[in-house]
Amino acid sequence: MTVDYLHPHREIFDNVHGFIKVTKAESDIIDSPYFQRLRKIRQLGLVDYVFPGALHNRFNHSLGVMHLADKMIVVLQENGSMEGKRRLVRMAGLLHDIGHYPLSHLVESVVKKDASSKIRLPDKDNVSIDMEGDGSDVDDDSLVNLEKSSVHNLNLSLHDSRNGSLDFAHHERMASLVIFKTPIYNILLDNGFNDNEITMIAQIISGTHSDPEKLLIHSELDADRFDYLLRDSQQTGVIYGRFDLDQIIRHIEIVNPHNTGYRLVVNEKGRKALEHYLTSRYFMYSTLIYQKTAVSFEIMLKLVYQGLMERGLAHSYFDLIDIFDDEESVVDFLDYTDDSFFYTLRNIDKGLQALDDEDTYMVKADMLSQLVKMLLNRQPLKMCYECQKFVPLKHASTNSPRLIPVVINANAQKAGIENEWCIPFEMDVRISDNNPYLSLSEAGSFLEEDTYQAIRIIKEHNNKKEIVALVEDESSIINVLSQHILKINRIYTKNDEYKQKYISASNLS
Amino acid sequence: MAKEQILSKVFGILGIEPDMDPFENRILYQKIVYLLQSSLSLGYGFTWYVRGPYSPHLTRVLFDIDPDTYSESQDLNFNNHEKIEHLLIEFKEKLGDKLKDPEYLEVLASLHYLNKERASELPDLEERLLSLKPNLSEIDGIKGIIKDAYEKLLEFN
Repeated sequence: MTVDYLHPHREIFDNVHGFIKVTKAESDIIDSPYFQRLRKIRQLGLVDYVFPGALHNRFNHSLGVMHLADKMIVVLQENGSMEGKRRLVRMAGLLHDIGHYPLSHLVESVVKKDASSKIRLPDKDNVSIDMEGDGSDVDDDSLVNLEKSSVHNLNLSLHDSRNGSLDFAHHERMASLVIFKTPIYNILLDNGFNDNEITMIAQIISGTHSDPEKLLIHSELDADRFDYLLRDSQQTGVIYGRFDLDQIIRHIEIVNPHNTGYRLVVNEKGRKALEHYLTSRYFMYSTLIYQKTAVSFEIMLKLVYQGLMERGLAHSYFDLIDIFDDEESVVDFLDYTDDSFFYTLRNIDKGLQALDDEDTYMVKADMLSQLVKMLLNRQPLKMCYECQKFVPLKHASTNSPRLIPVVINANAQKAGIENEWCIPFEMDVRISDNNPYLSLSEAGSFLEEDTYQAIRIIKEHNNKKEIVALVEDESSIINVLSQHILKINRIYTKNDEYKQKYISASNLS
Repeated sequence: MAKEQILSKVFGILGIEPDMDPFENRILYQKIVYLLQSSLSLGYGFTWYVRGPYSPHLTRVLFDIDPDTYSESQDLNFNNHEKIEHLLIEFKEKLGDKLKDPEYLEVLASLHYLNKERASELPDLEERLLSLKPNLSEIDGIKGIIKDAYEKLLEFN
């Protein structure tokens, strides 16, 4: 079978993958200011405060994802799949992070939560699905009416199936706004992409597209994960993230068993590489992302962004859709970078920016100014309690160690420290993202539709091919490891003095 | 309020007590909630999977509904209870017997999803649906089912 021919326009050297060939269309996108903005967004937020090499950015990563998505689709096209889709998949890989937030996922989580708490879907404003008397009623005054916002409506219409989850500010959805509301759209048109194809690119990025090519950018076996694992590993020097990428890609296949629908799978020859990839990902997450000091800075940054956003000193989703609303203001998005965030922090620290206080603010001015200073001076919060434990998934909901707010507050009071400076952190680390696994294992059965995100392999037995999820395959180490979950519970506090007070009060020392 | 309680109450009003053992039921519940969300947000995001729109989050919540949760939730009320109850009854009446027909709801929800992805006329939607799920062609009278579901689409946002 033939592979779609693409005319190479230039090459860019990447420290992870070597020379990456780009077409004229891709080159024009890369040279646009909206793509260059990604150079100013660190891939791993503040992880460089702990692993100083982690200064790589979304620009490098986006090139890498395009390159790996291309390697995958070339293999698939050689085997007769996805004809005519190569340039679309490459472009989706290149643009998949174009809407990312400063400091990546840390800021995103704050903006996303704020937006989802203040927006109701059109025509559903008065239909609150909360139960009576449970204290979760939404205060109507806090809701923002966006019915007349053309940008928000574009967001809704492009990703209709995701609207129910209220994740309007997700970076994948913001990518659509950048694609449609900045000069990126005209660059794509000028290079032969039509409006339908541009919509498809946006939907491949958000994972809502129905055709199988979305799986190369948006699944547990996608180019995004492959690239960030290798790149994060190389940049930070944490070697656990390395894995045999070529062996996996050589053995991917798109299958449609019994005409029931398309799945991206790996054949038996790629199995060990696949198992190694999943364990590598586990080790990278537990070593790098959940490292105790890295988490400390993550907590601080989220609190600071929240404090700035509620004072109008950092963008909310509502500010961003205003920015995208007209051609003049859209250039302001170019300044939405790590640098601008730190510039704001420095102004606060120098006293050039006053911080007001209102009852409704979640982060009070005093705490905010202290956190700003600590972030600028790389002074992490201190961990005053930690429990890490592997628990069987079957019993994870009932038998797991938990942090109990009442106990934390009581200890804080006993120690004479303010409640807001006792900050809990709870995280589950899994070997596989196959979330429904827990319930399914309790139910004692696995069915294809419920193992939605599971990585599958093709097994051959007595000349018969069978597609099985790796987590279900009794000969796979992933089957064993995925039956446990690492629970990480921690409490952080302001400094060493508070830490000692807390430990003494809770008799944990 | 826990999501499983909200979902229990919603299903209670629709006259369905969730039983996740039969596979067909799991398909049915997924498609019901997907279609319901065209008029009432329950907080689930859907993407396309082999049987059409699918939400892993919803699966998790459905598995958490045990008989006790279901029956205890029936005594609870929503805020705006009358409005929501009316909307749910309207939804139930709109689908009639088809509310418990997983095959039909799979077709209807899939057409709805594909039409939202790219608004199209019936022939194009039918072609896209059957190309993504060729096994549907094996169902007797599938063209009629698709045509019927397409006409029904207008009743869902």
